[in-house]
Amino acid sequence: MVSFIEGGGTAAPETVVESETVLSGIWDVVVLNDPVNLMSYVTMVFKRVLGMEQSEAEQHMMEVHELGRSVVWAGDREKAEAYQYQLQEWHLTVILEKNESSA
Amino acid sequence: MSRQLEFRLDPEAVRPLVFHFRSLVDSLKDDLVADNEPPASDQVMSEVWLEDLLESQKKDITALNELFNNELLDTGRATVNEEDVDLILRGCTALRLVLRESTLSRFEDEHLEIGEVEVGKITAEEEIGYGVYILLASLQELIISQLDP
Repeated sequence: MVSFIEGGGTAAPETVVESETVLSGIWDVVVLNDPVNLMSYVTMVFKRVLGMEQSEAEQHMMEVHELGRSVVWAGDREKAEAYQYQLQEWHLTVILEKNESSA
Repeated sequence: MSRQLEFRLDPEAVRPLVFHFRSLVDSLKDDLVADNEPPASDQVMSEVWLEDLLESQKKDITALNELFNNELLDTGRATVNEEDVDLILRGCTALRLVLRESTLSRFEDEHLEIGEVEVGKITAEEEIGYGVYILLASLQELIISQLDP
């Protein structure tokens, strides 16, 4: 597992401020549809990685299947990246999007 | 002591697929199968991210490859230690993804999804690839049903 260190080294203060501004706020973890993964597999992954209950996991799985995408988690950038990595380990297609409504 | 999952497959159905299966395994050493990007915040972190994902994928593939051992090919019986279940499930997905992008690339998603591939109208290689694709899905279903009955 990778560790997430933002602004590592001795960056200039302006850079740190800019980086914090860009990465601050609420981030959505978005799972995109793919033509391969089984519904039961995706549901199981949501339960295992995100701690969802069966019904919630199935609801998100159906969103992915029918709408092509589902926001499965939202929160701070560091934790969003951790979830993104774990879901990618399960070979799901996952992106992060800044939640503009939270800005 | 860890729990073991046991399942049975038809060895007569599995044996003809193994050669194609092994060639797919060999093709997966250097590239990630899923179309995924790391977060674009830092180049060094992105490189580490992709390297770690590739290492994880290699473990998945290795565990799945080891499952297709002589016992499974001779008797159809296979056992999976509980701690290896995640690797096997992910390995199945990795191989299905690469099959989708290679041997089975000319087929429509919905035809593959509902099993509407007419075996008589496809090449021998596609037929074997499709067999592996279905076999790995069946294996995933079997394992998931035992994990979460």
